[in-house]
Amino acid sequence: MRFSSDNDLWPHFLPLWKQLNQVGPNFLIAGGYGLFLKQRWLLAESAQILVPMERWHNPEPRATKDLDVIVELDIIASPEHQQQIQKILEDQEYQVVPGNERWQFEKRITPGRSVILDFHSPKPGPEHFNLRADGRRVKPKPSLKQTGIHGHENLEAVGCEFHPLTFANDNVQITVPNPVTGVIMKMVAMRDRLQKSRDPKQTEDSRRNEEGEARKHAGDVYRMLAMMTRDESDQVNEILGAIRTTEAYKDTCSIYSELFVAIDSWGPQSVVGQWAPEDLAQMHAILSSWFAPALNEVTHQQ
Amino acid sequence: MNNKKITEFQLLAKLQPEAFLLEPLIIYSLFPALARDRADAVIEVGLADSTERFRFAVEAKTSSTPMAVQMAIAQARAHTPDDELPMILVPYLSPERLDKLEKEQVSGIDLCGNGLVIVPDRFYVLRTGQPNQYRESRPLNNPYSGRSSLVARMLLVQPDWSSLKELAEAIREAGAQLSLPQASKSTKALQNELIIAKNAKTIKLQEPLRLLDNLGRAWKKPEFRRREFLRLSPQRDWANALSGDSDLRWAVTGASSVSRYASFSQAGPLRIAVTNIAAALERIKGKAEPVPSFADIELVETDEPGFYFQNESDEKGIRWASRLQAWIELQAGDARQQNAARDIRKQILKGVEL
Repeated sequence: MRFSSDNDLWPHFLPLWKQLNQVGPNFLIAGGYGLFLKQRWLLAESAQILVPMERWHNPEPRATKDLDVIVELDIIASPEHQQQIQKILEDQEYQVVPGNERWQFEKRITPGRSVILDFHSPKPGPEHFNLRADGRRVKPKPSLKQTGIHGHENLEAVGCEFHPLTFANDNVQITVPNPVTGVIMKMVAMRDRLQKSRDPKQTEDSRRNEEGEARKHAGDVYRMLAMMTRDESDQVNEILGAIRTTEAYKDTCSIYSELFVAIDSWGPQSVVGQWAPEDLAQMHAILSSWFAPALNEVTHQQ
Repeated sequence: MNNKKITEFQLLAKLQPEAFLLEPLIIYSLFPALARDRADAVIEVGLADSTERFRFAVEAKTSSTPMAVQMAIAQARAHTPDDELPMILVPYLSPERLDKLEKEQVSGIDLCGNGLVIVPDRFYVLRTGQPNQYRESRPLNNPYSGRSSLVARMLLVQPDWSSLKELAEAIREAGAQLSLPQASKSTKALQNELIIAKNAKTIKLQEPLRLLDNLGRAWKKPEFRRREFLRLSPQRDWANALSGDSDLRWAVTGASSVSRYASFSQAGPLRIAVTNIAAALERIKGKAEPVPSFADIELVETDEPGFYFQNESDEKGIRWASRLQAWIELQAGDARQQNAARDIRKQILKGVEL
């Protein structure tokens, strides 16, 4: 069940977010809802962004029922913080989703309506001796059993510790990932959905649905770029420099090469008509500056 | 396409007995004019299946400009006795000229197959849409674009001038060089279009609306020789830096000047037209910005005179585009810009209300 408007999510997000921020300041709201909140802030502020919103052909934020929260690894490793988070989730009536234990939670609002809350975390390095990662989830070591949260291991959350953007919505501090991390997450999600849409084992309905989701993620890639502020743009080179050798970055370069490199390739074509040609060209040039140089390096090394 | 100047004799050769005047009307008789105070020819016209005949006094003109057509209409009327009907004959009649003939209730035909024949209370025959096969070389290629448009632009600021010299001097003071012969050619072309009225002493704008529309239609987005996007340090006095080079011509473009004339938020860098981008970069000392939207200014190199004409300087020394230049650029822009252009258009026309 989808909400008719993302504002429906705000009363459920707000108390949860306020309490999480009392645990620590380093929670990031990612995904579609993070995009929505940033857009709402931009509408109220006059920040300089890549594509001013009056030029958007479709400024209506897209609906989502999911909350994607990126959790700092130190919080997952801390038994004290985990106890606090456990209490928050109980207070807010979030239940573990069977099969995705402790990284995905659900809150039923009315029969048939629920909010899905996912906790994501980047892959821990060897210095994180108090964490275990099995490729799917990141959890504390030793185990806290049925307490607290795990992080859904998300390689593409790479670089999320660099220059997150904090802004206020209704006097609440919101923090979202930097646009490079955001775009990488969206591009990987888009590629995964697209692959499923091309899987002959899937039913036709399922394939169509997956392709629709892939297109939504592609749309979000461009929305993220369009909403990039000048300060965020200035920080891009530092972020790219820090993540350039990671698997997630190289993977994204491959996605870019396969689905975005030409203006008539799948990615840009899936949003054509939603942007003025000159704005689409500028966003295309930015994606190229982020992901094509590394691609060239890989090609040259080969 | 026939660019050769046609003679009146060739023009009148169209009028042959037993030939179609304008299908289905046939010329039955032709009477050449014998007196100077008569029309160039008199013809009798009728339908093939009717014995009824109608006499037309035909005034021929070898030019098809609006002014020539207007003169032909006036002369045809003057040379037509009560028992005849007035008709003009010119090389080409555009749809606009045919409209004019209809309003004036005067018949007219051309050599391209267009025409209008009116016999009040009897018949009305109109044929239009045939292309012009007799284009005339104008005294000036186009009085609405490039340097030639400066006269038109000046007239939209001040519609009456006591002499051509005074007009040319005002153009020079507004930031452009235009010789007296160039100004004369431009006014002649506008006179032929009936946009201005000119006599030995005065030049007077008659059709500001049409002049404005023609300027807008003729505007083509210039292809800039070079563009540079720059980030500037805060408080950088770039305007005075640019003005320090007396050989450099520069001004903010019309699209970037819009907020001076209409309530409109123009996002993105301030676009500045310069005649020499290398000299401008040398003086302005900015840092290249790879993302155009995040630049503070965009320099574009162009010699298009409209950018540097009738500029308005503010207290900081910034040279803004004229209201007219802002309108010209915006009316050719996207939907939002066109909307702002409508407000500015009203302001321009209000300034030259006749």
